[in-house]
Amino acid sequence: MSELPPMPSRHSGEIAVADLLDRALHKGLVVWGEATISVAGVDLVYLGLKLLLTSTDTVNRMREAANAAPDERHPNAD
Amino acid sequence: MLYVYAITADCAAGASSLLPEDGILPGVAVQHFAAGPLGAVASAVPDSVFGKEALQAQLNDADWTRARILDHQRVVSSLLPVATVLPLKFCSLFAGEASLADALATQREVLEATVARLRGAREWGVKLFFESPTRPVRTAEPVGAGSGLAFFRRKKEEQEFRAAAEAALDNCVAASHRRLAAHARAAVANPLQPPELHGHAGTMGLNGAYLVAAETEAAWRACLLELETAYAAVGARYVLTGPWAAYNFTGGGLV
Repeated sequence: MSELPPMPSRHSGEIAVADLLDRALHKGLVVWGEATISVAGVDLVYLGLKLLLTSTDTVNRMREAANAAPDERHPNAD
Repeated sequence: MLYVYAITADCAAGASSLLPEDGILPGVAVQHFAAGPLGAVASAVPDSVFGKEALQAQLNDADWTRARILDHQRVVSSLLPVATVLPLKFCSLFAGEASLADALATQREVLEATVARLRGAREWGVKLFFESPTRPVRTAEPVGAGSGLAFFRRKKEEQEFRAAAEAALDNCVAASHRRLAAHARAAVANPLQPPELHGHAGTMGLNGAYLVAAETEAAWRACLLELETAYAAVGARYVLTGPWAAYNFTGGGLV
């Protein structure tokens, strides 16, 4: 589809895990069908989410894993 | 049982050959299922892992869940350059190919309308943080005659300072979101993340997501740079994330 150039910004490329959780767990499309099993899955996800969010250590490790991308830049990070 | 990552449309020729090798579990293949103008990207997964009870137990394992969320993201992200992507919520499961096709057929109108809304645009996240403390530094209380009066005067000055600082920050947040939204096809201001989640110094002021069309992306990014310059003085720091699949703009989420 679109062939857009990689972002030249001095602070692109960050994949913050909290942002990923916001999206993949809280947002995203739910496609309902007669045989959709995701109804149960959705409830279960919130159990998992609760667990994730109560573990700062987990969040930190997720952040490290997600930030492992080589072009990741944090020019303003403290 | 099928784990579905995304609904796709406008797939580039040969897109199927670009699918990642591993899906939601190591060694689990990623497949593209065509359904008219739409398609779905999914993996056949074992009931022993993703069946209702098994999944509940698995999700209690934070390490396992973390790895699966990153796998989900990896597959969805791989589709962005080659298709219009409607990302599904994590752990969207269907009984099989027939039930997936049935759901796509039943929801076709809504899905195609969503495709039309997302076509040619990408989601970007902008988080705004304020670095500077909003409270003035407290100096030692003077003692002796007149100290009471000085105390109240200082108290009043502090209140005024705080009110002015907060108004400046509110103004910065509102203007930032308004201006970024003006260059976007759609915009949403999400709930602010607590410090233990965002992991940045300072206070979060805005957690925005913007659906930006390819043709306005340069203008949108220029707007972000302008905001950085305009609000540097109030300690504003903007963090850009993305491009994301348009999770915030698929419109079908439960929350």
